[in-house]
Amino acid sequence: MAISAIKLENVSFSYPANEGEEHKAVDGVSLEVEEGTFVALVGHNGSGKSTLAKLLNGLLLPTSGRVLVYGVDTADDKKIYDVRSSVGMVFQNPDNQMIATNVEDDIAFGPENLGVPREEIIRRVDWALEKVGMSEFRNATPFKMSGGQKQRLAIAGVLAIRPRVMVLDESTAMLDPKGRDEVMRVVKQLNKEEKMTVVHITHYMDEALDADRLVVMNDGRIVLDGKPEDVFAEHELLTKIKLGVPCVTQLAVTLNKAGMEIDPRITDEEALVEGLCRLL
Amino acid sequence: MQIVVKDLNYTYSARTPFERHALKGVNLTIEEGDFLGIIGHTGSGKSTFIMHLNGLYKLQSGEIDVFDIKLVPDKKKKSDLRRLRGTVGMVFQYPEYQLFEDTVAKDVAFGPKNMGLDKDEVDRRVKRAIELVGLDYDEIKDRAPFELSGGQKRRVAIAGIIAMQPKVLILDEPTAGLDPYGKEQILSLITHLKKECSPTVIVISHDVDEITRFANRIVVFNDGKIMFDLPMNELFRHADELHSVGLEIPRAVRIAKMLKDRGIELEGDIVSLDDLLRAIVAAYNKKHIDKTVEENINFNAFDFGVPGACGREEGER
Amino acid sequence: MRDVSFGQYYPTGSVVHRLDPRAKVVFSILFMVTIFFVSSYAGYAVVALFLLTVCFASKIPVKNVIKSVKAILFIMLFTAIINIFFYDSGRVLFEWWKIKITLGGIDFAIKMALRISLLVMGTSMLSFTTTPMELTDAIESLLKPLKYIKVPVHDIALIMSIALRFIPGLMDETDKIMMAQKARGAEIDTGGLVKKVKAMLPVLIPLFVSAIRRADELADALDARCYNATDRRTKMKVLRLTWKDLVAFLFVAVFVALIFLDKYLLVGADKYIVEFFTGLAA
Repeated sequence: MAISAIKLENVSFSYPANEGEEHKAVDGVSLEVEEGTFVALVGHNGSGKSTLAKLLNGLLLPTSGRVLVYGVDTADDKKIYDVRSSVGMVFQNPDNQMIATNVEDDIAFGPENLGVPREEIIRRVDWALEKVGMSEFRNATPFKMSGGQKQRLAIAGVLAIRPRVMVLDESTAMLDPKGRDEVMRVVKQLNKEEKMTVVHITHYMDEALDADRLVVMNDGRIVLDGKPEDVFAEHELLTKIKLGVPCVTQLAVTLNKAGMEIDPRITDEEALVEGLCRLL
Repeated sequence: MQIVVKDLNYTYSARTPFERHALKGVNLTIEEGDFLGIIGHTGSGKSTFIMHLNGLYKLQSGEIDVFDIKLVPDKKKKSDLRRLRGTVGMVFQYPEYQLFEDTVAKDVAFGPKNMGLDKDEVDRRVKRAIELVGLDYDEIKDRAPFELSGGQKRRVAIAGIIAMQPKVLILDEPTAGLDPYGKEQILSLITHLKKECSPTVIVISHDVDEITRFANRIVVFNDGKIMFDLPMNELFRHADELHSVGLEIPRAVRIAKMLKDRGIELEGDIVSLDDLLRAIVAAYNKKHIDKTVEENINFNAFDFGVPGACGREEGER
Repeated sequence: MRDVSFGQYYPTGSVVHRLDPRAKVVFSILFMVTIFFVSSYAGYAVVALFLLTVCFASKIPVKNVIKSVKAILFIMLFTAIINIFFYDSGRVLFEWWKIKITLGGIDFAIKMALRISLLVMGTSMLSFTTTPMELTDAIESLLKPLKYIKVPVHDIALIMSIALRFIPGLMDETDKIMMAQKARGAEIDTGGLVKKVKAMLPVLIPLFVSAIRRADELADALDARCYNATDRRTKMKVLRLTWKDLVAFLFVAVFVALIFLDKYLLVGADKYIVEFFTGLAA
């Protein structure tokens, strides 16, 4: 039986609203993430996905419902640091999450806070840098690095806490395609090699392609949840909620709609070319 | 009427250990009516280049002539700069971060006011600019920019530039950080603005697929120099060179190449996804004479026509 | 955008760079205090010699060290002029209306200028050879005793290090916003003071908003990385004094001793020199 890493039970959250009107950013969400899975959480801006992210490690506490991280309620004041050390979080802006002017100092920040012994911190810094492929930058200054490099360092900083779940809160949104690739490669590798549970929050459908599971949010609610190819099959709905489908799928859908016998559920270029070869 | 840039060089922190040659002898002529896409890596000099067109960097060497406003390395007259900035509108990356007034209308008015226009003219322009970017003037004019959604803020910021009625509109990564729908909206807005307001448009983007969607000409910067300057439909001929300097190849070009490798040659110059779709349909119709497929199809996930009809977005945090 | 060199740190990997930053902070304080006891030109010569030695040991070009005075050149000249005109002591060399230039005045003005410039050069040696991060570490470590009277030493050190970390970013951002507003026709560099301040609003407001947004995100990032999880915080880099620090300490001690020797035993070794020149002038 798979272990449940994160469990949301009917979770709602509203930001304190002005003029009495209450807008639920997250509205009655129930979700269970099994250990070791790669979950992509997709929604357009304002769909509540980032609010949901902050609920996962107790940065925000639900207005109603419960969030359990390995069985620990995030609302439990005494255990909040257990929650935060098991759910690492990487944020959107690579410039706003580094606290030190030097790479290794920054990565050591998490374990230092947790009171990890010195030798162990050094081991973790080595290991984390190696995992994100940036060992040679150990003594560098992050200021002049590319967005992709900075974001990989942010991942290393989270890894050093040795979390069991990694949440990426739109961590690719501000990067160029190259930086996005770098980050995605590192995260996928962590999922595969370290069996890290990953919750990747994004609005790029293309980044959801390789996920084990794709959860789609709209208006604070989960509207679709399943294997990526099954979710993409709901093309109409995805377009209606302003998300669309991955580029290749969109091509297939367009051709299919125009009247060609192409499977509209295609998600990769190989399959598209394959399908076209049979027709042309 | 055109923009002519001759022998442009620019060096950051000259004569220090941090010296960096950002532009090395750049020559470029941009015709009125061009829809120019610029791509290149971070640090390739593309941003430094466009900043020059607006007089934001002092000319170190070379010559720039923007619609008969001449910039030379010597001391420039201030009036020229003012006229230049009214001629070339520059939308920076994440332009919403420059909003500062307490109402949308006041913020949009900042540019035209600085141009020294009288109040009626300023008001007229503000109204038109807000409508041009697809927002409801009466509904939004008195709202605070900070309470708008991300996409709306960006459009207000663009309106602030449009209100100066520039003949040339330059946008640096206009879709950065937006979700797919927001992206599509901004892209169709740019096309709309080119038609209605600024006939010459220059867009910088790191997403080559995005550029192929609308530009008719593409300039590739690499290492402070112009690597290519091509009509868009010829870009596919240089896919390997793009790849060799680490730039992305347009997806349509890649797929067309994959098909070619499998023995299927599509007709026509394929650069954009639209090109690809139409070529595929044409090939299909040629082969299956019995059943013809609609040839005029577009790659567009969200169909919303003119930006005015985009519909309002709900607020967000 | 613009290249922002980080602080003044000038990496050469010299012995001075590798000294314990706490030792360097203590030495700098000693240096600052000592320099106020220098009373003679011979004393200043000793200080200059000391600085020169440190400079050579740290492999930092003398030129750069001297350059650090440039920033305060104006203040220095201003005080020197005030001193020359208004310090009234010793033989009068020139007199007009209420202004009197005296030998003592000139003497005092020169000494004051020497004092300020040597002080600046000395403290800049610290920033040339120590990274901002090391500095905050050192300060945190030196202030540790204050923890017992409930001063949040670590928080202070963290705030300092975050400030250092964000300065280049904010400078960059200021630059960008300024460009963006200039592109909208803002005239930021012209006009009088009031006009200038008003013209800065379109830059300051977005900058402020952005700083708040950054702070907000940073606070989340700190929380997410378990800031304040335990009182028993550990440190990866432990500062340890080595024999190098001891040698450096002896060196500094000799310097301090020389200065005090000059001040209290020789009572200004160079008063004989001054007398000689005065005699010559007469």
